[in-house]
Amino acid sequence: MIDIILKDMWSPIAFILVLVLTALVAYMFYSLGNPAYKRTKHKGEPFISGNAPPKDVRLIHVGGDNVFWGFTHALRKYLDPLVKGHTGILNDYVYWMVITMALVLIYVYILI
Amino acid sequence: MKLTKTFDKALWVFHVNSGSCNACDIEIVAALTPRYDVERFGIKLVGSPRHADVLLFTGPVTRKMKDRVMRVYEQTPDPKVVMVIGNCGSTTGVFYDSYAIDGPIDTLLPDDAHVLYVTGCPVRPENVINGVKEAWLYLEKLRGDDK
Repeated sequence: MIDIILKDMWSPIAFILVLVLTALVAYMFYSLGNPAYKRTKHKGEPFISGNAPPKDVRLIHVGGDNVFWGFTHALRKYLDPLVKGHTGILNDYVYWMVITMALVLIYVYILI
Repeated sequence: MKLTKTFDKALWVFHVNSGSCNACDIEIVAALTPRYDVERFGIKLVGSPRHADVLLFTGPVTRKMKDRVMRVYEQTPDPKVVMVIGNCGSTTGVFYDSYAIDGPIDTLLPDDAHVLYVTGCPVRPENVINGVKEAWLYLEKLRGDDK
């Protein structure tokens, strides 16, 4: 059986085996749960002093954007020009590529 | 829901004011002060219903608070016990039959909710502590029945 799996990864038998094993493992985890659990309307909602959570989750989402604030702040002299360089305009990126390629070619063919 | 062994340990309590006059709330806080010091029994007031085993409801449940009370009840993980603190919460008290009241709370909660009443206007801190003790005994009895 292992030979079939190893020799031919795309065989249907291998796929069925993986599906059955995955289903078994999933059922094992599922059966560990509390059978008396009842899903109700508000269960699992975030607690905002009893108020209804807004539909737009971004309003209550605490982002991780500033986790690296100290790191980016310390390296701002290096990072700020890089951020400015990322204009989102394709012409700018092509311009940077042409300039870089020209510098590399000069280095490779003339200086060496 | 089946009660776990965790209920033998510390009961964590979340307090909801559903329109109370604050007298019962002050008495609950008094139970936490060094004079009564419920934390020595492991009873702790927590900041979110999602950490709580016991919900303390004060007040007769005003119309504005009804949705919030239901939401907080459902957000509290099972198994849980509701303790209704004070006469207003138990019977709506002096606000009986008011147009602004949707309570008392036991008319709003589902049938399988475990509710205990601590009466008084306001309750005394000793009553609150006694109520938590009764909740403990009730939960133990409940678990014995489940076995």
